[in-house]
Amino acid sequence: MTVCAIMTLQADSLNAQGHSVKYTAWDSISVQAIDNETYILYNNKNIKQIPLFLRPDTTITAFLMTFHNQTDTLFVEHTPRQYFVSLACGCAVYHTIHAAWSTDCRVDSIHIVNANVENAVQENLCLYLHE
Amino acid sequence: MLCKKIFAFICMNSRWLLILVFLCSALCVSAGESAKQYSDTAIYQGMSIKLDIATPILEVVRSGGLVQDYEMALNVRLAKRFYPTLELGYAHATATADAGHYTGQGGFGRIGMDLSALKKGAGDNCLMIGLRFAGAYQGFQITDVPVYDDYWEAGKVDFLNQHKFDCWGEIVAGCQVQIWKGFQMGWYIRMKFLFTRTDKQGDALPAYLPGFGYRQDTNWGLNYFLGYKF
Repeated sequence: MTVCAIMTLQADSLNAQGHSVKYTAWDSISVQAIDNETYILYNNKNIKQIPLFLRPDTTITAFLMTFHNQTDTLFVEHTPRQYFVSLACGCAVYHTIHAAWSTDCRVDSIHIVNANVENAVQENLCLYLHE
Repeated sequence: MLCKKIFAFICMNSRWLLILVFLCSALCVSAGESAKQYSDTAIYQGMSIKLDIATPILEVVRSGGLVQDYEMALNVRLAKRFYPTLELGYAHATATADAGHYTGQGGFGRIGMDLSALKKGAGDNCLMIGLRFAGAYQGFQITDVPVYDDYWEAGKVDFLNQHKFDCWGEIVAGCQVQIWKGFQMGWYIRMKFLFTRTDKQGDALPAYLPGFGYRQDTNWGLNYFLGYKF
């Protein structure tokens, strides 16, 4: 059982008629955690959320996020805690998110929706992008 | 705090206390004290000490030699039908699973009352039903527990120096018969209901509870005992 923080993506912009339009789906995003060479590639269409695997052994995890050749660095400060499941299933690591910040190439702001990372389903962070 | 430390010391060393209590009882018997006859009108009608010989064998067989569980009981006969009972024991358990190695040991105690189902005329031979309230305190450790993470290599962790108190209730039924002079034998069957079922999620929990068995909501037990009535 791998627990990860779920981050949704949003952007607001004005259309030709001057009305606000909310974007919640994206194409071609890649995410790489610093200190881990494994890329999590999202080249599918209609990407609405990204799982962020927080480090179980440190309190700050940094990610490189690339949106169509524009890269931002996202930092998440968190406290990992070991969660013993059972003698048959072993141990999972839960996290409590304290803060999140980023460079501002494409990222406008980050909001913590739910600080407790205890599964791979519930939304934890919301990332607002410049359109 | 001091009481807690004393309680923990007693529980963790209850194996030796059990041996000591039983040896003292044996000395009393060897000193020539035989079973006394009590008046039918007396409230106090004797005290029995019993050593369970079924549980150690059953637990060793059931666990494949990974569990040792010993227990003894002390009860008093009051007004012919009532048997206030104190039971003490010790257990040591190990287990190995896909996700770690478990080792735990500790003591337990049960206190309760039996009621003779036979109204009169049977002497110390009786069918009994009763209730128990039980508690166990143990130290345990779980080692080599894998941390599952698909992205980071998290390795394994150990949960060392863990301590846990559990309590449960029991419904018991059984019988006892006099076999020779003051010596008794008999059996109990027990249905056990764990009270400390919910816990802070994520804490390491003992896989085996002394006096209760493997951790689950309900359990059963069987005692076959030999005893002596003073």
